[in-house]
Amino acid sequence: MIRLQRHFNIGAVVVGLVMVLASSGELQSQGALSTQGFGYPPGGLSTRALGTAGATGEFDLLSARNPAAVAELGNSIISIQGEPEFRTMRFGDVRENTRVQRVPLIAAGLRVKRVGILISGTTLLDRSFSTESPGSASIDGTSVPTLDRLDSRGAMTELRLAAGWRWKSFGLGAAVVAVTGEHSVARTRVFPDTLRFGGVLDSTRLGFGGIGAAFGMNWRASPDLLVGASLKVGGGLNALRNDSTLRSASVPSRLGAGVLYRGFAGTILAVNVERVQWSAMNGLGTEAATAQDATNWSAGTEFEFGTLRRFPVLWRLGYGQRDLPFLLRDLPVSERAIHGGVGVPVAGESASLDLSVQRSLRRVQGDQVREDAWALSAAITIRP
Amino acid sequence: MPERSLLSRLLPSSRSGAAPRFPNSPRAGMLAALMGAMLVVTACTEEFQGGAGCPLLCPQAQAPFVDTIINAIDLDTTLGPYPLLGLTNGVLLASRGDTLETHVVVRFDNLPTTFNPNNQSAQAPITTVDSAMLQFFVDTTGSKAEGEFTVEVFNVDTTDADSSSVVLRTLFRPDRKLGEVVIPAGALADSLRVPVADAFIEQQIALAGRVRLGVRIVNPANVQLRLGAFANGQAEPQLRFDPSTDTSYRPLDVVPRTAFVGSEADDALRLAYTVYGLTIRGSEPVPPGTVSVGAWPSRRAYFRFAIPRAIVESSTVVRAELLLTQRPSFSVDRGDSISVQPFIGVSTSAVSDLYLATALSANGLLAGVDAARFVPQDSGQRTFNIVNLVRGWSALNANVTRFVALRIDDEGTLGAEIRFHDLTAPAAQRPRLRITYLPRTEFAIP
Repeated sequence: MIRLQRHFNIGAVVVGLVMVLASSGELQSQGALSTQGFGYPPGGLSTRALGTAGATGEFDLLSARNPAAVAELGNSIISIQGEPEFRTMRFGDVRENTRVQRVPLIAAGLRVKRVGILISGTTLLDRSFSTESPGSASIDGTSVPTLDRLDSRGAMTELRLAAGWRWKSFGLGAAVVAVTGEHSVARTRVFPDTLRFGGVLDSTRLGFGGIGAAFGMNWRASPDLLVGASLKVGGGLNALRNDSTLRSASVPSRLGAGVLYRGFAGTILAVNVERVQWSAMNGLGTEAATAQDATNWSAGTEFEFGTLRRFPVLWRLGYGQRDLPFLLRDLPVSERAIHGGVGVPVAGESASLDLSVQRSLRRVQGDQVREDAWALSAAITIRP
Repeated sequence: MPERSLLSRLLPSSRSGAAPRFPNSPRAGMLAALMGAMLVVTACTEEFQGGAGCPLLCPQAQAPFVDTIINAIDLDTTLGPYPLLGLTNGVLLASRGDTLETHVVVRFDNLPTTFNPNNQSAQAPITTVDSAMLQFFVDTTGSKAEGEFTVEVFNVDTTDADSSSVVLRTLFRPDRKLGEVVIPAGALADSLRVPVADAFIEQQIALAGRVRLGVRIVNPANVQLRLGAFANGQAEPQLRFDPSTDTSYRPLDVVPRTAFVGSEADDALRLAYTVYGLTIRGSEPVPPGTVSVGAWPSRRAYFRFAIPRAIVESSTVVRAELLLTQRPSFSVDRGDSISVQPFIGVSTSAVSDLYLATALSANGLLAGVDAARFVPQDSGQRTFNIVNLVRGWSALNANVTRFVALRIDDEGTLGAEIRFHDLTAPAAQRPRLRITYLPRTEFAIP
């Protein structure tokens, strides 16, 4: 009876946490530092890895990082992840709030003999935003006010087919990567004097097509120490309209490494570092979408605290720092974030619910513009 | 990190692989609560609205508009006369000194020969006519009268070519005069009654003949009357008389009708000669270098556009104005404000007759082209906002002629004329198109 009560208490905490974060749409949000260029990179991390700021990303089979982690796959797995983000942009006296909703990861996998196979779709770059701002047009030598609006919806998506297997104390993996997706962009300009002037409404779509490959390795250096490394090699990346190629660049390559230690009872510690060659995308956009290479690192922990139906509830904490890929008028944009999360077994080990919350501070040099965000990630993972 | 929880493997219960057993209902409740939480998280509405940080944070600068004046009119001309004879609701009876003089002809080719005495069903022949009168509905909004004036009625029936204005003009002479009325200054009302000689009507009825009456205003006068004219309409003229000297009888009203050889199967032709105007002194011809709107007989200005396809089809037009340079006109009503109504082409190039194409045109209001008011004696640049029309042209079939025609309101009952410089004028005065557009540029690529 006491155990049952305890279970409900934990459930209530989880539900309460979710409700509070979900209702924070009424709180502040949104800026545009993260929507420069081709958009914001969610990172390809599962909710579980997000709880540690991505520190366990090299060892997490659902995260689109190290294909060697797929070697740990059981019989089969299905996972879907939702990720609302509430952003507040401050620029001088200006304060602006927005909300975005992402489904940054869908994955399904199964084990075939000794090989784990996982197919997943993750958001590489999310470019959903709307801007509405006053503008002007020079007509008859005089400045006529306009209201300019730009709406962009869409994302670049990374489809990944990964295979991993174990060999002695190693986990090995390889993946083929396809980049696809579409941006739907609409441009509107309206004049206050609608009788004299007609408005502008142009809309278009931009598709993407690219390829890449990834390789990874995990090494169990000791019973409690895991070391992992992965490399993604980017191939061509094209911006397409119908069957025409508008611009070409390359899928950004990535080199990452991580260490995971589980020598403490009920606790793991992990660190991760990666280098993403975002500059390979230069040329896909205009000069206004200049990308810089990013060095990202994170450290985090996952520990047991409490149980739910005799299964441990896992709590996660992490801190990460990374560079966002696209410059704001030649100025780099960085992101620091504190992460926390919880993993709850829903039906024993057959299904679990992972939640994470992330507080991100995005800054540009000189702090002229500040963007703070709350992001909530929730994932259901089922192991049929 | 193993797919199954790393930490769970450290627990005895998990290592055993045995699924714990729990009562079903709390487990289901917990699962439902967590699934609900998941739904709440994923069902958050989106709010993308930003832009307060623009232009600093807006990733793309807006492309500039192109604002220019182009010679986009490849043909202009003056078309007329309008409207077609007899096919108007009104007809103008005018005596405007040396600028405009018109007469009106009304035909009563079918006269009654019997009537119903005492409203009985039995018919009796009409042997006597009393109080014969030609009466018109007067549209006072389009009528003017300065001082006293006289309206005269003549017998204009002839065996000669009675559709010839030359012949008809000679019939307005004293020996054919049938009556007159003097309208004192300020006494013009919404109806006009001109007495007609009873004996003449009586004689025509007795002969089973016809009555064709010509009406004029006697000079010197500065009067114009807009009279109801359209046959079969409520405002048509009527010949009214008493079929008896007994004034207790209700008068008979005879409506205009005509019939002549060649009109048997042509209603429009019959209507044209039932009630119509006769121009005695009209407007002067269109001077060189001019396109004309209005005048008497009325004219229409025609402007055909040839806008570069790159603008119409590959840009977004936000402003388009037809620029016209008005030049003074010395027409009647030259100081009045005259409404000019644009019409737009809807026929294909298969209709090569410009007069016909203009007759088939649609009211400019359908494309958001509003009427404008002009004073004939003024001069200077005038504009018609045609932005919605030009924007619509991109969706039109290529063989639809892109033109704008201008006509005055009350065409056919107003003698005012508006003049514009035509394409032969100096560049700054010729008809042109002022256009502002946004060239289609790539904006999806950041």
